[in-house]
Amino acid sequence: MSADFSARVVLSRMQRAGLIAALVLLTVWAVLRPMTVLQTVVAIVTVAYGAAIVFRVVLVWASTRGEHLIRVSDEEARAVPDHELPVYTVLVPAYREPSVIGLLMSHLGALEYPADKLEIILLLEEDDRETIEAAEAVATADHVRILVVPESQPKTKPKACNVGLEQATGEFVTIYDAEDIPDPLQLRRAVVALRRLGPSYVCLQAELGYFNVDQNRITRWFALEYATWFRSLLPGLVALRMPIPLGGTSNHFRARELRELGAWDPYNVTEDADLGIRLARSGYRVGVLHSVTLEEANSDFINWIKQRSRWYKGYLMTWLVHLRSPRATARQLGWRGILCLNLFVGGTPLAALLNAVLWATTILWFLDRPPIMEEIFVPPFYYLGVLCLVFGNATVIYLNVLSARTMDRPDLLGTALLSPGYWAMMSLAGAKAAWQLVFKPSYWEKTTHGLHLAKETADVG
Amino acid sequence: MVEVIPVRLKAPPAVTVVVPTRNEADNVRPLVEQLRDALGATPSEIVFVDDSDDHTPEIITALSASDPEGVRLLHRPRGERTGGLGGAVTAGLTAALAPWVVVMDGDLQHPPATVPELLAAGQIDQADAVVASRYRTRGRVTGLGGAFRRIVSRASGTLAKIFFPVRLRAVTDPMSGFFAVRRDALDTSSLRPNGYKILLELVVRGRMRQITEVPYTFRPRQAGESKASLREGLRYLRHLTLLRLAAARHPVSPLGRLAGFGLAGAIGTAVNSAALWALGEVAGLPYLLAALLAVQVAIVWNFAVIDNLVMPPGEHARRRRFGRFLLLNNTLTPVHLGLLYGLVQLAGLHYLEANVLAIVVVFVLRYAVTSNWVYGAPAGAGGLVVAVRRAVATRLLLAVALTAVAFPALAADVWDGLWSRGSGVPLLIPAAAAAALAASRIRPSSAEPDVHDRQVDGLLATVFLTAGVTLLLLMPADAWLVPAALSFLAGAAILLVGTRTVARLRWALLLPLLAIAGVAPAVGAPVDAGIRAVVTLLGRPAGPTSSGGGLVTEYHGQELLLPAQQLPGLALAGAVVCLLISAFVLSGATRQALTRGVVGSLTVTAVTVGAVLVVLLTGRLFGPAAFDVARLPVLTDAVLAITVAVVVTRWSPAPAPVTAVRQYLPRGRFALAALVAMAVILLESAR
Repeated sequence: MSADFSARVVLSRMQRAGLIAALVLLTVWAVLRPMTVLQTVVAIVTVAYGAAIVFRVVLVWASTRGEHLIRVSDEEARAVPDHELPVYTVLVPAYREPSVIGLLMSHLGALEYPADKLEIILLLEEDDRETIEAAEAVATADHVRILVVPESQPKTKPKACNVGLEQATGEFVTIYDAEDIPDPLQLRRAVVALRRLGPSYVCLQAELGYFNVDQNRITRWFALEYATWFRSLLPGLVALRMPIPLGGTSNHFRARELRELGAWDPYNVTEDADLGIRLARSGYRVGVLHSVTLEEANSDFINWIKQRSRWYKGYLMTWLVHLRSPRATARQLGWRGILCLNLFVGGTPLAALLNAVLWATTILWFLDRPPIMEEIFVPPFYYLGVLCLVFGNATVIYLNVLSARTMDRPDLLGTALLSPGYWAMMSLAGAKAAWQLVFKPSYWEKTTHGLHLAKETADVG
Repeated sequence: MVEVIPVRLKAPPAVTVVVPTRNEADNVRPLVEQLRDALGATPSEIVFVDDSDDHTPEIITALSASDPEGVRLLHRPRGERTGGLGGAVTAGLTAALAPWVVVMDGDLQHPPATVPELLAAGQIDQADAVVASRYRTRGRVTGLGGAFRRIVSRASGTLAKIFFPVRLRAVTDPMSGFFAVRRDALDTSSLRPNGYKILLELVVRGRMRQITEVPYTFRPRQAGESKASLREGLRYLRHLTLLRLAAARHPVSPLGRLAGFGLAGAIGTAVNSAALWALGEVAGLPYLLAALLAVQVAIVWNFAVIDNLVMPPGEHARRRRFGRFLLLNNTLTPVHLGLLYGLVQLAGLHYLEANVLAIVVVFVLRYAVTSNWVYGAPAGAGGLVVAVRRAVATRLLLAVALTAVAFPALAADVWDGLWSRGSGVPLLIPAAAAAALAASRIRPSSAEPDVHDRQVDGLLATVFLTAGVTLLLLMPADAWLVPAALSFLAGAAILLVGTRTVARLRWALLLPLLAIAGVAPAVGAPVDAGIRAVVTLLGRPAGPTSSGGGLVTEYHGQELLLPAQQLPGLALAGAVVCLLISAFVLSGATRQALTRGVVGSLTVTAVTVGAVLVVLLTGRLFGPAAFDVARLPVLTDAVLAITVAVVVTRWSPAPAPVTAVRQYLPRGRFALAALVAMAVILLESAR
């Protein structure tokens, strides 16, 4: 893929120059007219924040009007005779996860797909002897291959996937993480759906859910958030014909088109979201498939922050990469796509980061009412800010309550009402992401898996 | 799979003899023969590094053909002879395979019979290098032609010893071209040979520690021509000077580093003062602003000097080193400016003098920070002091101490309250409970995942510290003092021991919050009434009576009053809540927690009633003087605090075997310096 689309360099030379010039101008202006600058910044932030909230509401509203999940029933999926099925490649990148390899084999073994049409490629890293040995012990079936990715920088999941894609023989390709439990009929559903939808659709995103929802408060929040994401927001994006930032696993591709597109960007830490935008820029469409892959929700606070900050950093990266040539992007994506790119891809991490600042100012205001804040928040934006505070927060909590309903888990109501605690965590992750974007852009913060296993054994023992 | 094992005909060499040769056609063959005789059965290889233009290489090739592993040739044709003799030796050292390498000339002036002696001495003395010396007692200089040559040789050796008195302490013949070195003590990439004194190069640049000598007799030249000349001598002098300069850079020992840093700092002080003078006097800026700018100038200057001359390059790129250097040194700038401000305003010094003083005081902090975080500490630290310093308990104690420094009003309040059951006293019992809880809770459980993150620690600590400072500065009311202090304590604890440990302590950290709730009289009054009733009931028939909210006892007809405000009702309520929270923290929401809570509450109530009875009994038996001491609230409260601590400790799980203590925030010293600065600033601003 071309360097223009890669996050190898986060800011292009033009962007860098522009940013520096803007900062210098802002500094000079701030020295001359500090109050005007503060007022302007507050005004811009408030308007952008309000826009992001409105956008979310619009997405949820759009998702409820009509059916935007692609549904393939069990009968339809099983109706395709084996000889009509294409060869399907499953890529499983894994790094330092020897403990989950055994489980992975049983979960992939449950897939209802003829073994002679299925190709499973385990992508392991050269220096990870433990996992390679564990995999060699269990991966005995003929259709399972172990591909050791040679040592080279960047050592990331997308790099491994690209290596796997080169070797893949399937007409369709999908990715699972080592700890995933996919719906056994998912591959058949994807085949039926992609054939039904025609060549303009080159990718389907399956829904993701969690198998350890009830482990602790963090996993419950996480589950609610995923439900909002896959049941409301992504269908909303589909309904509004906007690009879809893909999720890390269970995306099903047509292999040929994926190769033509240049596959994944090995330097982007959310290569999936970036690929979603690139698909849209190339004029392809992405659907959301109603078929659930269960993942492990991150149950540990610090681990969660690491994972989330990586996502946020990746979203920011993707946002910057696609703003390199704004006119080309605008032409390819149209105004809807640009809206999605700014408010969804760029907006999600920025909102998480700003949340903390806005909450802090609000609390400060109610505690002490410093007169300087009255000056900073000029009337129209002050009222807009109050509106965001009251309605915005209420809306987001309401969306979580709604998700508890769509998940049919009324016991999660309390968790939904406590979501401000989750926002604090998001803000922390946002701050970390911003920090890392500046200082270590390509650093892949490894998420530790198998924490649910430790818990279970501890409980038993 | 079949493992292919290469067939070895001979054992790997135990010694490599490197012989730099130049036009030594007649000497090569006898040298090889003599060496074989001398080494006998010791597996060895001879590497000739040949810079010849005559037929020496053909002779060596012939020798090598009959014994390909025993004799090797590195021929350097004209134009590739970098570094002259020194370069030839370096090439030979790089090519050597054996653990010990002997370097000797090819002109037979170095007797091959001495080679086994060198090796034996090296093994016996555990040395990095063994020098064959002409000047030790047994060795004699018979080979150098003429008195002049002898004097030149001796003088150049002495000169070298003058240049490097410490490193060449044990070497009488630094000019020797005949020596043995241990290969793994040698870093061939650091050598920059120039001229023929490769031994000097090895000892000085290679930083050899252990050197011994073996005497030998310099033999007359067998054949060929000698290469020592006046021009070589001059080159030698230049080389020696350069070597001295190079060796003075980047000292290895902590003391050398400190000295270099101090020297650089002294020059930096001059630069700083000059800049301050220029900005303050000439440009007329306010002195604090001028000092701030002057510090920046000095930091850049210091980086240039220190990075180039004092500190070893370390693991980071120069750009990053500069970034860290600037950042870290600037975290100390507030301390510097605060000190400057204090010296000018309070001590009445002129700001230029005050600035020099401030620089000197901050110097130690700067050194510690720079040396450890920018360049990495020299190896060799350890022992009990480090173990104590790294212990989590020590760090928590530090965090508490810093909080006390930062919030002197709170500390003073607690201290005053100890004598009159003021608002600070309720802190005593929660603090005891918190300490007991902390002692058991900072141990990680076995099921806890091994995930830690310094960035999260930093971000969370920043949030808590900012919140604490904001509360203190914006909310002058006393009621906010405790939350502000708690927020500060949480931030300091996170910074010093890491998020995960603090997360285990979150309940313990919350306990002091009880102090706020405890101030309410609504809680204390009913408990006081209960205590009065029980005490009068138990004291019957001759016992104390309840009167006016207090308790009265008699001493020889004189009435002694324990007034209402000195009854420990509030303390008892606080203790019970502490025990309930602790039970919940230690056992979770279980039946066991409930049982423990009830039993603990009963225990602590019994202790309270007992304490009140003891106080009254003291008055009855020993008179008013003893009664005045016994009724001090702090005594009752201390008894309660000890009870709570003992109960909580008994509930705590048995200590698990201590595994390696995890370094949550390895930059503890840096964090500490930053926190101290912050505490001092808060102390100042609170006045």
